[in-house]
Amino acid sequence: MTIQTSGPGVLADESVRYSHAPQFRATNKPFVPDNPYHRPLDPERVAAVDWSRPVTEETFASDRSLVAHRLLMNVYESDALFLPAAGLGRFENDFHAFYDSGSRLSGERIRPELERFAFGFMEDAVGVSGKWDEETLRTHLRHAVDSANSPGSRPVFEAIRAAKNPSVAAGTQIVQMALDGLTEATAMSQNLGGAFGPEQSELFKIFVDEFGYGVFPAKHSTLFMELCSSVGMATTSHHYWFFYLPSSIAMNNYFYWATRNRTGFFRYIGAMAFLEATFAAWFADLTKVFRDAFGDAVDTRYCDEHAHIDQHHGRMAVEDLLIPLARKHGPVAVKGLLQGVEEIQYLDRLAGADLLTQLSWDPALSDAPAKTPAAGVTALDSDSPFDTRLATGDTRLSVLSGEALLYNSATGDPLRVPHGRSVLVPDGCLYGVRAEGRAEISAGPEA
Amino acid sequence: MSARPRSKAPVPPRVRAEFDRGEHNALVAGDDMYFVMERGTDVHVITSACPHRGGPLHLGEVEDDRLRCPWHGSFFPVGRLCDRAHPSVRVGDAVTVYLPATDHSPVPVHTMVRAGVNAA
Repeated sequence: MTIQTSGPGVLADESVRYSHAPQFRATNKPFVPDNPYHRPLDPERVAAVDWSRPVTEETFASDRSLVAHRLLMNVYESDALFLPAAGLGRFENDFHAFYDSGSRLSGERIRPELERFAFGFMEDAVGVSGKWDEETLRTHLRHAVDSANSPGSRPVFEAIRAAKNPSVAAGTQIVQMALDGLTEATAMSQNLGGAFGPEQSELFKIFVDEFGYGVFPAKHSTLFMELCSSVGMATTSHHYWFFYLPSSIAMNNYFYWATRNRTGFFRYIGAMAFLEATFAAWFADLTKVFRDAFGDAVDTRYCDEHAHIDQHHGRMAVEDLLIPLARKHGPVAVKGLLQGVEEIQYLDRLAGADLLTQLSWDPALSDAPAKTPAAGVTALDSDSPFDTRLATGDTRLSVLSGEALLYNSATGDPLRVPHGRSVLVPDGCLYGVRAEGRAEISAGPEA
Repeated sequence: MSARPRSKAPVPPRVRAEFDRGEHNALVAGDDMYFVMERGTDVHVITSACPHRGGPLHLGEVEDDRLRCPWHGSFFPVGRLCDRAHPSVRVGDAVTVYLPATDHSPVPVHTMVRAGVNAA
């Protein structure tokens, strides 16, 4: 007898089993307050994914990419410790469920195949060849950093400023950043162990800055919480679970992926060094965007700290980590380092396009007659599970009876769609629907 | 990677060039020619001048994973040529390569290259 231990078939069965765990149960609310373990996954949606068709560049921002990255995020984050700010009290069962050995083993079974599904396309998309010398490596890095900081390189920031409601658009940006911001440097912390020479200590120097030298109010994730608080947003991990775009989760998962696969260390350093080298200018610009969107009340110390310290981290990550590792470990390191530099730029471009698509969507009621598509009618009431998904193709959402609430951002008010009206959800946009009373809706491709 | 401070010989300066691998299979800089050899998804940019007498390696044929110079029949293992290729990165079809700097800027071209695509 042959026991299948990997492949799409195993992933199909095991991912459904994994998503049935109690910490991934459904909720009827659009937000998940105070409980860092409760991350709703719909087993039926997981079961519907065709795992034999991996994500590609074209489907990077797609519903199945969203499902895959939500699964992966939970697998990765069960390696990190979360404790509720208000104490374990009400969440003891979820605490045990999230870190349950059986659940983690199930997650570990699906991880390698999920990673191939979600990130495999990058192996084809990005390649590094030839014999690199130090000067050429430096030249290439300088060019990449200069390009990232060149005028006109921040279309997302321009879209936030141009939005009908810039504070809502800026809130969407903060939600995407919260994935990393509230657990900042967790993947980095997982690279600190072992024994890898002076570069281990150099990485630690960057890490202690991230962690505020052991002073909680100075920790970067604490500064991020202050940013959220100052604009009335929640500060607990995954409060906005439903509103992460697939590309935002993918960017976060990328660093866990590179970290969990130890031979991905050079890739991790390359990607991290590139971001650290570009963050100072990026965060300086972000401060201005937040000031424009929120006014003086916004606490931008999180951005200001990055605008300052990443001038140092950019230099340290390149001069004290990337270059010494390349010198010492030769072509295999150079290839990995450059792979990371290129992959993170590639992902960042795709993620920017994904966020731009979301920010550009201003849902509007339409009088287009409600049609009942072949997919049928969905009945909702106030107890129906809430979920968000990405529209596959332009999708017409029609309300056939009652009233539905359409969510396209975490911080804006939902759009109330009454009986007989509809909304066009553009291809690739994230949306969720709930009802406060009985309602019937249909969603199908726009003719 | 050859380290700058430890190098015995100075590292020759290089110049950046970009091309689309779907449109171009070689670069020309004055009298120097570089051709693109693809192995699977990897793209390698290789000096065309044979180290023996300067024969056009891009017109050579690959036999048993060795490239044969069309002039005097010298063989070069493809793996070694690729290892010593000019430093490059590829994202999608966009390739960035760093070639030896001369008085002439490299220009991407499409020409006859017999040793080019999927020479594995």
